[in-house]
Amino acid sequence: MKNHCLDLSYAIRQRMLSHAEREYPRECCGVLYGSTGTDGKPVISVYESAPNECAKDRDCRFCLDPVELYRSEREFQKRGLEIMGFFHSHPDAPATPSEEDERYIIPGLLYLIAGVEDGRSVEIRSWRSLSPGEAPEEVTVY
Amino acid sequence: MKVIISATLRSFFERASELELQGNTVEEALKELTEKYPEAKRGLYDAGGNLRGFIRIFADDEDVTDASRWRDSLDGVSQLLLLPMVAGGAPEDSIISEERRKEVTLDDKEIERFNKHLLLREISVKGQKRIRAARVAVIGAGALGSPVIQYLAAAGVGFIRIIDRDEVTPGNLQSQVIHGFRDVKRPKAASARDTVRNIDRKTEVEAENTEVTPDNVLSLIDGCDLVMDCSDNYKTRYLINDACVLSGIPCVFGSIYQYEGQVSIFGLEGGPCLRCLYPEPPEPGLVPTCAEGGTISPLSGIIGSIQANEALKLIIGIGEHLSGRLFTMDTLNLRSGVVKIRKDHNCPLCGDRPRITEVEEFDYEEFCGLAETETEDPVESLTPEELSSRITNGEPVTIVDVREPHERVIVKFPNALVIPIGQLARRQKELNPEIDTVFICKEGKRSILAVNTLREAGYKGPMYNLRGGMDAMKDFIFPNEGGGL
Repeated sequence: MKNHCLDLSYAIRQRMLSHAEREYPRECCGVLYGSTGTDGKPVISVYESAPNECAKDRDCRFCLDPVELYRSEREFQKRGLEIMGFFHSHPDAPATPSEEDERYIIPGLLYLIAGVEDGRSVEIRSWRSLSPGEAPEEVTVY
Repeated sequence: MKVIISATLRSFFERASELELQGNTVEEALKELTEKYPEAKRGLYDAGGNLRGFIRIFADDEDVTDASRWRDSLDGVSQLLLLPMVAGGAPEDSIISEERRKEVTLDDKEIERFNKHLLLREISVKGQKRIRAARVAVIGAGALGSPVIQYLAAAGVGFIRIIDRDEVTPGNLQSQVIHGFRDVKRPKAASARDTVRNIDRKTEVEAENTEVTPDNVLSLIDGCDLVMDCSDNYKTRYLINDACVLSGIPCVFGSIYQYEGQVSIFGLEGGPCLRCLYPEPPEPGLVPTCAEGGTISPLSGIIGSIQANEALKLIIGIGEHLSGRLFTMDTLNLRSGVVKIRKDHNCPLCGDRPRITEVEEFDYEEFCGLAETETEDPVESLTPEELSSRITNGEPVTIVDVREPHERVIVKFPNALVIPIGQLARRQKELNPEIDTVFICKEGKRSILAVNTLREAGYKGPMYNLRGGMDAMKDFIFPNEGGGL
């Protein structure tokens, strides 16, 4: 996981961005499934949108139901796919990890964030923390 | 006991997905896990020994993450799941830090009291705690300060410092609703403090009965998260603006004039400041102050309430605020709008190469045209006593009233020539340069402008300004002319 770049297909990027725009001004979230390529780079094959389970404050936070996520994880495992990371949107805020994001960031996984302004996605950026408690570094999205 | 680990957490456990452990409680299971995989300790716990936020432990379908459940027996549980908590959220832009919010607790009485805030999804308990944690300095306990101080106190702001040098006068009561007739002649700061105490005993309130000066402004706003500019003069406004930008404290600006008002936020995280909007104040005397120009009673309530609302939004971290934008309102025709304010990169205070770096070194008197400059001839003045005795003694003197027609209706000056400032230059032939001319206005400021205007226009006769204007003259005005409009 030393490679600081991520190839993202046009179709998957569009799925994520349109999900973010659809949910605006609420935050959207979803899971990225895929595998690790022979060169060690993550390969994303599926974007699975997930319901935002935060009952309160959906405009500025998101969370996934851990048990539902585990069920989904097992389904995709049968197809040989594993969780490579997660996606969420920042309505009217930049696509950089917030304090809240950093508190929950799981080391080794990709965190893709879309910045949405006035209902339009303006950027998508990817972040990864290499070890527990370490600040996330940017992984360039191609 | 079977323990299943989500793929997302397997890097802590050498990629193990399923384990068989002896323990019969969560505590025992975690202990066994970290003994088996010493590396996992750093993954599971933070530096303080607490389970990391992104980990959830489930006994079958039941969440047992909370440490209070860790000693419960796991009899009858078929598997323990170690799952990720995937969560986060867009940054919240509150000016109150998370640490300070967390220090606040709300008791039952406060939950009842602030119920209507707690019902709002955007505010809720978190926002109310931020309001409690907030420290706000309000400069000016007059027309704008009245609604600002009362709404901030009612909303639950934890600390309010009220700064005002004046005492309450009967004329203040028309718009300064924080004071009552019993407060007349009391310092405004103390009167406002008492009102706050009557609203909420839990709000800590400090009253500073002092004028804001370059020497004390930094200490007056020190330790505050936000400054409310409720002042009524340009010198104080620029001083507050400069001190706020230099201290990194945002300022909610408000101003009113007759029927119109403005609100903006200056110095918020690189946003524009008052100097970006208005690089210089208008020439003294050109725009009358509130005391001179008058205001309609509810105007300060409208504008001050918008200021208080902006302050609460900054404190809670919600909504769209007025940083980089100016709200304007005309209450006579009931029109309002918001215009963009650009940051001036050449701004002497917050631009790329700032020239103002300390308030003590900047001459606010001169900047606002209040200092008597050496190059310009000072304007000679008459005191009300001197003018009165000249009139009584029958000395020849021309009196020119430069006030507006509606002001003259309140108190007329007998036998005065009425010439508005705008007409002075072309009507100077009406004056006799052989005898003294005395200019009068309400407070003695516009009359100075009148003298300077005529002097510039080439008028050579002797000119005097009535010091303190009609306000100072009122005890000398012929009683038969006063009373009953």
